[in-house]
Amino acid sequence: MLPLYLLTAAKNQPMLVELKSGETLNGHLINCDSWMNLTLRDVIQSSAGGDQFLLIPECYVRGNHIKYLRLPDEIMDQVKEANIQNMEQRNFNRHNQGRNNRGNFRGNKRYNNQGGRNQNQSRGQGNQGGQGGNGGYNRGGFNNATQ
Amino acid sequence: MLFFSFFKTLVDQEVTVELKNDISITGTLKSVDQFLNLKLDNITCNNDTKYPHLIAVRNLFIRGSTVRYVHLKKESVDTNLLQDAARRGML
Amino acid sequence: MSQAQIQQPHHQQQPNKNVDALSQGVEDLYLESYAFTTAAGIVGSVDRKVFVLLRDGRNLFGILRTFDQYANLVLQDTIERIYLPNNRYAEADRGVFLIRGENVVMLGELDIDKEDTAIEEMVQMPFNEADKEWEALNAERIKLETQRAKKLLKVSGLTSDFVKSDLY
Repeated sequence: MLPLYLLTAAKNQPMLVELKSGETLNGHLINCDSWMNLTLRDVIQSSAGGDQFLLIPECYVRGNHIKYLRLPDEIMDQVKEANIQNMEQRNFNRHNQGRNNRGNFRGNKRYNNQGGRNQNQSRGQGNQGGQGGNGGYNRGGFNNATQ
Repeated sequence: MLFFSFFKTLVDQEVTVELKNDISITGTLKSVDQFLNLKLDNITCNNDTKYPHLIAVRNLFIRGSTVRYVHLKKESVDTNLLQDAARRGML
Repeated sequence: MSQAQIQQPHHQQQPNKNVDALSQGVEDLYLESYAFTTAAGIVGSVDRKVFVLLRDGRNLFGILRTFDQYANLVLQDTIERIYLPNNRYAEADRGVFLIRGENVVMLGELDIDKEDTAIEEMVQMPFNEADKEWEALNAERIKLETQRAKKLLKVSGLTSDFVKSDLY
């Protein structure tokens, strides 16, 4: 479960966004994308010093300006639930199609993360991390070939 | 790419990473990536007051962009090899 | 000729190794197939207590739940801690954090046996007070550094790479 996946699961939830400038935006998430751009509604914008406040009905935040997001505690449980249901559904489908059942993903920490360089955004595929990039290294030599 | 490959040959060596905030951290290099982010094991820090909790830290992932220097032992480096690789890269 | 060797990941788990074996297995898996990626450097710390140092100087302590190739992190049960001179500190509960990777300086795995030794000898103070003092200290530092940068430029023609946002 990737961080951006968690963010997408947090739609319609209240959250606090702190920008790199130190300003904070408190509002409900309308939408987000893979660059972490966000649209928020019913936003309270606070200046870095915490002295000025602005009420904004709707605003757009460019992802690269974000320092961090604070999400409600319940989000983790909600996502785990949704994850389990999805996995069960997928296993059920796979089973029916007569393919090899990849086994029980539930509670198996091993498959919770997709590492690797080339992330494919379709998160339903279990542990396929794409190509492994530079697997080995050259002993006794430096490989300076450009990729 | 060159320094990525270079760091890969330094895995399991002891290095001292000096950050841009003047703090130095010594540890065993376990991993590096294309952005020259570093993963160190068994770390010790030269400054006990700035980050007191570092005493409880076993391994550390350091973002490459925050590193000023990586201090190495002379024996770890083959400068001739490096020079050759750099020249090859120029072609 | 450098003699560095990659440690071969050991697949045989000793029978009396504790639960760590599972995450060790994940880490080995990543080091094998995705050796030398950002993920390989972080995956070993998942579901463990970690501390994160942010570029603005904040110290966050929490359980690392997930991450991605940009080192974006999700921490759960996070505590923000401020250290002040004269052996003082303050903490505040923050819940779930999604941290954008570019704002991270360091990410370290905490040894739960030792994690409190640092603050054992320190005096705790209320967080709001500590926060104000911390911000005052930061403002002071920014002022000092910008003055220094001006001087360096005027006197020696040297540029400074100090940025207001990097207070770590």
